[in-house]
Amino acid sequence: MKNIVIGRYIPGDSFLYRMDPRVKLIALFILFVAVFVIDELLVMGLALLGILVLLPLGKISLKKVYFGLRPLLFLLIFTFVFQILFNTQGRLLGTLRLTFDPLNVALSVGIFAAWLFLKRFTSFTFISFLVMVAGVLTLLSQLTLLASFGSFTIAIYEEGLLFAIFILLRLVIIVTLSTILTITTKPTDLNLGLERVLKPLKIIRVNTEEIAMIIGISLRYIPTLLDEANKIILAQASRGVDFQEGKIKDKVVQIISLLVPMFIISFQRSDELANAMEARCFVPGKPRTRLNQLTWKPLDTAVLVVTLTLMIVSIGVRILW
Amino acid sequence: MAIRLHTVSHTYTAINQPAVHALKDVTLTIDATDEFIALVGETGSGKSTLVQHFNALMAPTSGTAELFDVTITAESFKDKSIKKTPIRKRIGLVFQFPEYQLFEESVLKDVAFAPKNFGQSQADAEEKAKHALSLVGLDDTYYARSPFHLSGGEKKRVSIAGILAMEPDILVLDEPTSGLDPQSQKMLMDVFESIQRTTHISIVFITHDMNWVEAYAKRVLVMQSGELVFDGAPDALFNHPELSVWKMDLPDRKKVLNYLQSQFKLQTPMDDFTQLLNAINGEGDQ
Repeated sequence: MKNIVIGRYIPGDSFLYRMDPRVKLIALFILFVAVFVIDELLVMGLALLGILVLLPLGKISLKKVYFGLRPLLFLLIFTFVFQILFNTQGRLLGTLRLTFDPLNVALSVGIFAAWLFLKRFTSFTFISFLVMVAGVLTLLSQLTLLASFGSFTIAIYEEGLLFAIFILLRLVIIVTLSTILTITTKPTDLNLGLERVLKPLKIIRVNTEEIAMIIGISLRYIPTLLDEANKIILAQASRGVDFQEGKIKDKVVQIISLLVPMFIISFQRSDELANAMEARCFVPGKPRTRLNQLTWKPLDTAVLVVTLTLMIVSIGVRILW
Repeated sequence: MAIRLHTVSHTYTAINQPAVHALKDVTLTIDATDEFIALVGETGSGKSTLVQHFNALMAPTSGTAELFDVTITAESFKDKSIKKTPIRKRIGLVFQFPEYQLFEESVLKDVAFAPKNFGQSQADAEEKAKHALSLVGLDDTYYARSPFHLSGGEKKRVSIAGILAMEPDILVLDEPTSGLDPQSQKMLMDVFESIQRTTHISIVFITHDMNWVEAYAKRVLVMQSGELVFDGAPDALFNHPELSVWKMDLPDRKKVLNYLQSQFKLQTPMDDFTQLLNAINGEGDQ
């Protein structure tokens, strides 16, 4: 719980921290466009390389970015595997014929159970998971002693594999960029930046201040709610709930015992917040002054120029390639 | 000895933030029977962190915590073969805010939740829950009510009953009287005292109110910025020269006594009002 980084600001000092939040948001948007314009795996690889250069320059350790990526690991693997399995374009690279017979299915289940059991004792759950999957696949494809009752052929096509890597890279880049933004920007600054960036939308009667306020409050409350969840876990643990153990039936009760107080506390918090805002005479949509004024520095201009260039280059590459 | 902490330190660490030393070399023992301990100290002095070490919700960063026959250290805490739940059954911890634990649809079910977790049958658990609720002064009209529609004080009582129903050997209470009206505070403290007197279990409570310390506690622990600075009888604490250094206050009774003594310029220190009145009257007679 403690290591979830989504939306969490981590104090530090580098050019990424000194940038104007408006510029950060615009630059992020420009880079998103650039990343979506790219349609070549090679260029996408270069973009990833760029990110890897940016991280040490901005004094952000890979570990923090990894903590940002970790909650999405499952999604990333899922997309990757599905692309490989179901994309049948391009040259056929190889096939893997899986035959199922009672013996090898039983052995595979055994391997899976062993992994489930062993993962408690090792810290490399993810790596051992990959080893486990590889083991099961080898077993199913190589060993068929008894009468088989079915088979399935995994066919991997060149296009599918490349596209899967391509999608993976794109997702990693996008999530990393967003993580960099939230790590280096205080929620209040982010909120202010967002409000200013969205200001032109006021012409078409969009209430940008309220949107910025809603987003700002949500970001602000993520760590608070995580802390609350931790406290609830401790309070329930002292009533005998063991969140690490238990059968599925127990798990349901455990999760309910966490979620119900969570909901109640969130509603209480929002009620209190609304009262506090009203007590300070908050009126939605009224023009207001800010304690911190944003200042545009030469650094900001430079960053905008660089990101715009990157976008133009990626568009150019797409048209001319 | 039920709880034996030996040079326990706890440091909170977070990514890129300065470490907070919440506990520094705390050594103390608490018996399984007949203790009535008040834990006092200013806000942020480490009281709550300390009590979470009592039932293995937290592990010391360094040092050892012997809880009944289980030894908890930074390493053994991570070892999943050492079960912490049995410790938590024997050492019941009530958190300060009942909102963090109430979740069932009725008061009775919520109180029966803990005994059921510790393997009691539905009927037994409800029996224990009813008993616990009667102890904290909630009668059968409360059984079917939703815990979320109760007043703050009633919620607090339900949350305390939720731990009492486990029948712990040691009861640890994090600010049991906070947020209650004076009468309910007194009523709850009386409940704890009578539980202590009849069942002889040990009770540890955190409080900021010296009147409760004077009226109920047999022993006081004083925390200051993570260190245990005093461990002894309440009277010894009230006469301790460093009382104000620890940001502690005297109980109201002591303040009145001291005031009257200074007003009547009595030299010998006195500890109860009869003695004082006699001294004053005697002076008047002369």
